[in-house]
Amino acid sequence: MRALSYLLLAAACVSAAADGPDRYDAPRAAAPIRIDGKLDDGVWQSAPWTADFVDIEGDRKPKPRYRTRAKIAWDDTHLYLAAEMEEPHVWGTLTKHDSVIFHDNDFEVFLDPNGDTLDYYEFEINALNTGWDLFLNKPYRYGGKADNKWEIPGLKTAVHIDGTLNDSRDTDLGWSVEIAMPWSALGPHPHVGKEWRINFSRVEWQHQIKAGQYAKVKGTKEDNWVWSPQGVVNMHVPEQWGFVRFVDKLSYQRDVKPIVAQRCVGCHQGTKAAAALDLARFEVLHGLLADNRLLAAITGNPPRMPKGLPPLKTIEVDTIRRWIAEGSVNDGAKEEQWWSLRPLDGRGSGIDAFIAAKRHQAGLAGNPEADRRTLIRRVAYDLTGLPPTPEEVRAFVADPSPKAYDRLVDRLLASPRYGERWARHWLDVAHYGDSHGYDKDKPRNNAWPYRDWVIKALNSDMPYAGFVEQQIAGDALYPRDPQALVATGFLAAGPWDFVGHQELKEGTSDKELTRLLDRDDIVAQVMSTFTSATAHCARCHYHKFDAIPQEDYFRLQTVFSGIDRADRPFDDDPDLNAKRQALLAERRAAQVALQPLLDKIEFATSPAIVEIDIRISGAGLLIAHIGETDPAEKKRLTERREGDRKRRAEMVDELVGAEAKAKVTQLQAAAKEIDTRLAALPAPRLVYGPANYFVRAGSFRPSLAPRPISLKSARMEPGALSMLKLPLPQYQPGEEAGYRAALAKWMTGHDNVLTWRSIVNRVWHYHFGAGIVDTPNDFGRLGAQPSHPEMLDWLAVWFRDEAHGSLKRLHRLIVTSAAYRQSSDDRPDGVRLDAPNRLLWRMNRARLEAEAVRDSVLQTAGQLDLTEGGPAVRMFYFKDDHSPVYDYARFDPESPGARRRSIYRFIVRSVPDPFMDRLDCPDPSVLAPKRNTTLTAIQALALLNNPFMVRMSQAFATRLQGEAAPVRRAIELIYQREARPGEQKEMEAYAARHGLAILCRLLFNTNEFLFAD
Amino acid sequence: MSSSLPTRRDLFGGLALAAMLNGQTRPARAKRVVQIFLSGAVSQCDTFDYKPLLSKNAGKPWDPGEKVELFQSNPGVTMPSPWGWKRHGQSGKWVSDLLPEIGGCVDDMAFVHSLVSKSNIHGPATFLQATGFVLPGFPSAGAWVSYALGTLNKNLPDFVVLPDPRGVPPNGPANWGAGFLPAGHQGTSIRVGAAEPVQDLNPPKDSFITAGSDREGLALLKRLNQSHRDSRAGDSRLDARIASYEMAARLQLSAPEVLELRGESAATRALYGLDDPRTADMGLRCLTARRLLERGVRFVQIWSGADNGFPRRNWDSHENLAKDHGELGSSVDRPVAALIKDLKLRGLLDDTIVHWASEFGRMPCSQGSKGRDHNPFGYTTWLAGGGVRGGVSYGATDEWSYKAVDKPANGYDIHATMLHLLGVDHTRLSFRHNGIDRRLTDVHGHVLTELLSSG
Repeated sequence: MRALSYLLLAAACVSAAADGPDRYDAPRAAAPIRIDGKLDDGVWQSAPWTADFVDIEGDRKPKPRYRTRAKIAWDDTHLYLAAEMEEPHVWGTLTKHDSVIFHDNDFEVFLDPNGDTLDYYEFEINALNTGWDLFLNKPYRYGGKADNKWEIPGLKTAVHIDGTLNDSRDTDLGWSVEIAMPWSALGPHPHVGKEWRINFSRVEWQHQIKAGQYAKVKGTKEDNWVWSPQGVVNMHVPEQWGFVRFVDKLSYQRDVKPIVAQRCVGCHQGTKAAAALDLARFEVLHGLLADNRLLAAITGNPPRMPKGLPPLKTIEVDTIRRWIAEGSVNDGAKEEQWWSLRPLDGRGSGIDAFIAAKRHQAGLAGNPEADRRTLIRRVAYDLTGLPPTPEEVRAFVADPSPKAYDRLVDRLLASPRYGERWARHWLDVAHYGDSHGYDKDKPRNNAWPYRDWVIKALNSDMPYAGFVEQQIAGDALYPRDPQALVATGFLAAGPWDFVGHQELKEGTSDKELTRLLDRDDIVAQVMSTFTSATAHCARCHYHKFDAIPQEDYFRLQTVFSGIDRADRPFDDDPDLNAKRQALLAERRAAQVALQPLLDKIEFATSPAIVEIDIRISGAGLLIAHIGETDPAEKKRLTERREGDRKRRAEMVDELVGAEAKAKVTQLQAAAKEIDTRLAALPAPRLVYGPANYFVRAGSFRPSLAPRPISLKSARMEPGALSMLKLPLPQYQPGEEAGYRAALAKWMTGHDNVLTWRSIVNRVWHYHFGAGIVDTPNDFGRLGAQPSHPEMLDWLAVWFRDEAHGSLKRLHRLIVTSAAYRQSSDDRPDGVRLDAPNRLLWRMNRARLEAEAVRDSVLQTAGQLDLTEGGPAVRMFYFKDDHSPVYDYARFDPESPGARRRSIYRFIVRSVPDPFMDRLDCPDPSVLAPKRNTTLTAIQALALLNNPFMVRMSQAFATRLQGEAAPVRRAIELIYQREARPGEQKEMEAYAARHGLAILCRLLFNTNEFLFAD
Repeated sequence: MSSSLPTRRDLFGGLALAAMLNGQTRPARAKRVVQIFLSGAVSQCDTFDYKPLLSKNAGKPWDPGEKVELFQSNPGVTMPSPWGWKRHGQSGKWVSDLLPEIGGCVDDMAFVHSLVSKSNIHGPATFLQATGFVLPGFPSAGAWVSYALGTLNKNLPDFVVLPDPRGVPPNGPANWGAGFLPAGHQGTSIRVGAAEPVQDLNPPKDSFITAGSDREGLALLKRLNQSHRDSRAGDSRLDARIASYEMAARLQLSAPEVLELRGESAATRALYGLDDPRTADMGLRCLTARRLLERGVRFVQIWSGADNGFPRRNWDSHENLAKDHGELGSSVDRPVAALIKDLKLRGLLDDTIVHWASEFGRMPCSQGSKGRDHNPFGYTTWLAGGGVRGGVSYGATDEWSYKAVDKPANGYDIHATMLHLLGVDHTRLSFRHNGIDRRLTDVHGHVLTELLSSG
C-alpha cells in the first residue's frame, strides 16, 4: 500500500501553471480586412470573442458596468485588433495624436511580442479615432521609460459608433474599433503557432452632463476593464497579459489533442474505469462527435465533464467547436511537423546571407565591423576565456594583412586554453561536480578524468559524433580505447544520493525511489544535452506539449537500468586495460552466479532473527553515541554485540541449509581467484562513471543485470524518442552496455535532426550570448522558436556533412562572420525595430562569466598558473567527517594549485564557492544550458572584498612596480587599450594618495574590465 | 519628455508593484516569514503530539498492525516520552514539558499534526521541506518568496539565513540556494556572533584598504563606470552595476547596525535567554531574526542543528532521545517563545509568519533502547502570526503518533498556505526551467484554509 502511494508521489512531477493569464487563438484572415470600425469582415466571423472584460483587479472587484469584448486576427502583412464596447454615452474630447488618451474613455492595446516583459508596445484610442502610440523598453517599475516618439508607420484605425457621438440627449448602444498594425512596425513577423503576450484595457470615466456637454465628474477615479486581469491597477505588468497564439486553420494534432490530453485523458485512459473510452485515440474521440455528444458533455451549466474538475475554459470549448465546424479532420498523417522535427534543409549560402536577409525584411542594417582592439578582446575571451596580452593586441592592430583576423582565430583555436574554456560550457550542460551532493555530500575524487577528457576531446577537435557516442557508450563502442571509457563519466556527472544508495535498506520503497530518481537524472541530462528534448517531462504522463509518450521515457530509463554511478578502474595502456576489463567481466559473471545465494543468506529472516537484529543495531547505536565517554559500558556492549552476531550467523546457517552454504563457499573461492588475478595487475586509475559491476559498499551494490522497468505493468524494452521515427539499432537483450551503445548510435545517426540542430545552436548560443533558439535545452513546443530557422538548418547540415562534426570549423565559421565581427554599439532604429537584437543588427555585449573573471584577474595580476589537467584543486579547507566540512573562508590562498584556471576547481555541490556563486556560476546540481546574469550588491562586495580579489590586487600592483608608467601599463593589461590622458591622470592621483594596489582593486571592479564589447 | 509622461500607472509605488510580480493576486495577510528549521527531525510525540497510549503501553511490543519500513532499524517496543505533558493556554493544547515556554504561546499557534513526507532520508526530505523537491537544484522557499515579492528594504537582502554555529545542516547551503532563479534571490548567510558574520562585507582586516581609500575609490569607480557607460548607450546592465555598488555601500552600513545588539534592553536580552549559556546561541539568532524582520527582510531562516554526525549536533536522536532532545529542546524553547512574544509586543506578529519546520518526525517505538528512528508517516509542524488562526489543531495521527490518519497533509500544503498568506497564488508563482514551469509546490499543494484567521 505504502509502496504504491510512494511511486505515485514520485511519479508526479511536471507542472504547467494552472489558471494563468487568459489565452486566445488568433486566426489568419483569408481576405484583407476593411478597416471601417465595423466587425463585418469574413475573418471576424471565425475569430472567437475574448472573454468579456473584467475589472483590472480581477474577481475581487465587481463586474464592469458595460460589456467589452475583443477579437484578434492576422495575415502576412498586418495584425488586426477589434473591440466592441457597450456604452450608453459615447463621448470624447481629444483630437491631437499622441495626447494622453486615457484622459478620455478609451480602448487600449498592449503588445509584448516575445513575452520577455521588455520592449513592448502600447496603443490607445478614443471614440474620436485619436490614437496614442508608445514604446516601452521595460515596465515603469524597473525604471522603464516610455518612448512617445515611437510611431506605427502604416497604422490604420477606424471607429464605428452605434448611436451618436458627444450627443448627451440620447442613449447610445456602444462603439467599436478596428485596428490594423503592419508587422513591419512591430518587429519580426510571427509564424503559425507563435505566441505573443497581449492585453486590452478599456478606461471608463464617470461623467456628468453640463450644459448639454459630457464632462468627467471631478474627483472620481476611472474604471479599468481588461481582458486578462492584472490583479492590481497597473497595466504595466506584462507577466499578467494574456497569451495570444497566431493560428491558421485549427489542427487536431496541434490544437485539439493537447486539450483532450490535459483535460480528458487523465481519466479516459490507462487503468481507470473511464478508460474504456480511450480519448487519447482519435477514432474514439471522433465517434463522440455524432449526436453532438462531445460538446454536450463539456458544455452546459455545469458541464457534465470533466467529472469533479473545473470545466473547460471558454477558449478550449471554442477551439473544439471550431475544429468540428471546420470538418474535424485528423491532420496527424500530414500534420505540419514541429519545426525541430522536420527534415533538415541544407539550402543557403552562409551565415551572413541569412542574417542580412532577415534584417533586410525588417528594414535594418548591420553595424560596421568593430575596431581591431575590440575584436581581439572579444574573440580571445570567447575562444579561450582569457584576455589577450597588450603585445598580442599591438601586433594584431598593426597587422596590415586582410588575413590577420583569420590567423588570430586559428591561433586561439589551436591554444590549449580553448579546450579549457569550452569544456566549462560543456560541464554546465552536464551538471558536473566533484562531490555527490545531498546529505553527507561526500567528495567524488575520481570525477576529474572525465573533465580532462572533455578538454582533450575539444582541443583535439574530436568529431562531434564520436564525442557524443563516447560519452554515452565509449566503453562498449570503443573497447580498445581506455579514454573512451573515461568519456562515459558524462553519465555519472550529476548528483548522487549517497544515503539513499548506500545506507538505505534493500527492498524498501525508498530504495526504489532513490534509483528511479537517479535514472531520471541521467535520462534528463542525456536527452536535454544531445537532443534538446524534454523527455523527462513524460515521467508521469504523456508529454503535455510534445509528442513524447510515457513509454518513450521509461524505454529511456531502461537504457540506463543496468548501471550505477561508481568508480571504474581503467588503465592508460590499452593492452593492460583490455586485460583488466576482461577480468572484470569474468568477475561480474562470477558475482551473477553467487548473488542469488548471498541474497538468500542476507535476507534470511525469522522472528528470532528480527529480535536479535534489534539488539545488535541498538548496541551499535549506543556504542556510537557513547563515544569515548564510558569505556567500560562500551566494552560491555561490544562484547554483547559480538556474541549476538555469532548467534545470528548460526540461526541464518540453519535456515539456509548446508548445501547452499557449501555452494557459496565454492563460488566464493572461484570469485576470489579472479580477484587475486586482478590484484596482481598494476594499480589501475579510476574514473567515476556508469558501472555495471563494482565492489559493494554498504547496501550499494551492482544490479548485475538491467533492473526491470515497467509502465502500467508492461515490462519496457530500451528505446528512444518515437517522434523522430528512427528505430534504435540492434542490441542484445539483457546486455546493458549494448543498450547504451544502441542509444549512442541512434543519437548520432545522419537523420537525427535534433542532435545536429541542438549542437550548432548550443555553440551559437555561447558565441552570441543567445541561441538561434533561445532555449538550448528545449526544442519543443514550450521552448523558443528559432529566430533564423533556415540558417539553423543550413548550419546543422554544413556541420554534419561539410565540417564532419568539427567543432573548431564551426567556431571558425561563426567567429569570422560579419554578424560576429560587427560592433556592439546601440542604434536607435535597431532599438526601435528589434530591441532584443534577435536579428543581430549589432553584436551582443558580454558580461564575463565567473571563471573568465577569476582567470583574467589571475592573468592580469601575473599570477595565472597554466598547469593542465589532473585531480581537482580543493580551493577550500577540507575535513572528512560523517558530513565532510568544506570551508572556503579557511582556505590558504598560497597553497599549491590555488592560482590555476577555474576549470580545475574542485566543485562542491552542497557548498558552492561563494565567490564564484555570486558571479552566477550555476548550481552544479542543475542542468545549466544558459547562465543567469545578475548584478547584485552582494556580487559587488565579493568583487571588492573577497580575499582572492584583495590579494590579486596586491599581486597586480607588485607586477606593475618598476614600470616607468605603472598606471598606463595597468590600463593596457586590464583593458587591452592605451590609456586616455584624463583617466590616467585621475588614476595616478588616486594611486599616489592610497597606493597602487588600491587602484588595481578598483580597476578589477570596473565595467570595462567585466564586459566584452 | 518621454521620461515624464503623465501616467496613472506611475502612481503605484514600488512595493505594490513588486508585490504584483509572479502571481500575487490576493490581498496579503503577511509580509514576511521567519522559519525555524529543526534539522535532523524533531520528535512530534515528545513535543506537540500527545498520545497517552505511549505511556500506558510503555515497554510493550509496538504493533501498528502492518509492516513498517524504517530507515535504519526494525521497530522496537513502545517508548513513552521522557517528558510529562501539560495543557496550555485557553485552547488547552497539550505540550510536553520539553518546551514549556513555547507552550505559553499556543493560543497564537496553529498546529498541523498530520504531515507526511515523501522521503525517509534526511537529505532528500530536508530538500523537500526547504525547496519542494527531493532532488537538489531547486530554489528554496525563501528564494521563491524573494522572487515573488521583492524587497521591503533596499539596504538588506530579501532572504537571510542564520545557520547553527555548530555547522551546516544536511545538503549544506544548497538548502537556501536560488536553484535556477537569479542568484540575487539566494539566502544570504549571516553567521551571528562570528568575527565576520557576512562574507566579504568588508575588506579583510589585515589588508591595505582603509575607509578613506574606499570612499574616494568608490567615487572614482563611479566616474570610470559612468564614462564607460556614456559611450555605450542602451545597456541597462551597465547602469545596474553602477547601482549595485551604491547598494553595496548601504548594505555595509545597515548590516552592522542590524547585528549590533547593544541597544536591546536587559529585559529583551533576558527574554531571549542571552544570559544563559544553554539558550544564548539560539537566543542570539532569534533576536537577530527579529531585528532583520523589523527592518524589512522578507524571509529569515533560523537553523537549530547541524549535520547528522557524532557527537550528536542536531535533532537526529537515534540513540538517546532523552539526552539529545533534552539538550536541544532547552536550547530552543525560551528563544523561540521569546521571538513570538517579542514580535507580538512590537505589533509585528500580525504580518509575520512564524513557521516551525523539520524534515520529518520520529517513531513512537524505540530504536535500540533509548532512541527513536525517523518517522515520515506522521509528524507535526506549526505556524503562528501573519493571518494564522491561533489555537487550532489540524489533522491527527493515529493513537500511536505513527501515521497521519485524519486529513493527511504535506510540505506543499504548508508552502501553499504560507504563499497564500503572503498574497501569492502558489499555482501561479512559476519559473520556466528546462522545459517545465517549475513551482515551489510542484504540481501539488492545497491552502489549508482551516489555519487562516478570519480577520
